[in-house]
Amino acid sequence: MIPNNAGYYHAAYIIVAAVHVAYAASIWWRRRSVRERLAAAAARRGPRG
Amino acid sequence: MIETATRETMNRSAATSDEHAAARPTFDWLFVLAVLAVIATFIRAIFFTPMDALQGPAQKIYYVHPPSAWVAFLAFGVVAVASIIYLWMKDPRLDRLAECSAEVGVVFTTITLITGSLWGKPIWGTWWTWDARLTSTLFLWFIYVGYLILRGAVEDPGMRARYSAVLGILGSLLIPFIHLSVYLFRTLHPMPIIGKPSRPSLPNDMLVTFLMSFCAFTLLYVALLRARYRLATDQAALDAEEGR
Repeated sequence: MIPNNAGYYHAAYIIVAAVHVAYAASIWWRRRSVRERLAAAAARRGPRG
Repeated sequence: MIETATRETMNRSAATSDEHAAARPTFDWLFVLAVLAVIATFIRAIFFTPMDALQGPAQKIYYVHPPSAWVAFLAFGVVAVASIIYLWMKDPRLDRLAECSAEVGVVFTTITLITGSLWGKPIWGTWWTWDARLTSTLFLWFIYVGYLILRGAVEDPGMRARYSAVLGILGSLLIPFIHLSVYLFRTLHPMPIIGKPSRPSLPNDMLVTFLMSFCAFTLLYVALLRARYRLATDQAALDAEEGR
């Protein structure tokens, strides 16, 4: 008889997807924040740089 | 010393110019490709790969657990190689690559530990056991979490790069030990299915899914590393801009 342990495998796949999505989102969010600060610094410096 | 400082300053200004180019919004085709590959692997593993008669559905955790461990080892291997070359050439781009690869490696090691536990509970009857393979993998995770904490704690970029390069190299020495631990000790952890001298002991359907998963996760690692490296490049440009 095949054991009924599908819950563990469903949990594993959901966690793998969630961790990757969260990590990719954190990279995107951090890069957006850095780029905004870069743009702000460039604006403060003026067009001549 | 002066030569090193000058080279680092030159590298920093060179980085500043290509950083601004990198800051342009781009369509990350590699990331999209990696996500599609992982989705295709999940669909194949869930719907089109036969179930193991003895272990039941929990066996399908194999399609995410060993590939995550492989990518973690690959990531920390990249940290070691980049760190060795950094100590030789003092190129800050190599330090940045090591930092980014370590972060991605920690993410994949975390997944390895969680999915291993989720497989262990139904098969071994316990979430965790202090077996050689599991304990050394947890130790590896702590070393590279420590590596990231060290990077945040040292202010001087040159010292930070040197200290973390040494730790990155030393940490990677654990990887062959982890791989061989199932041969060196009596452990609960299963023996390798693919990475062994004899033929892989898996039916073809399962083997294809397994190999597909390795490729998809490796591609995801490359995509995440590239995205993380772009962030580090932007951060270096910002630090240069703010005079840090």
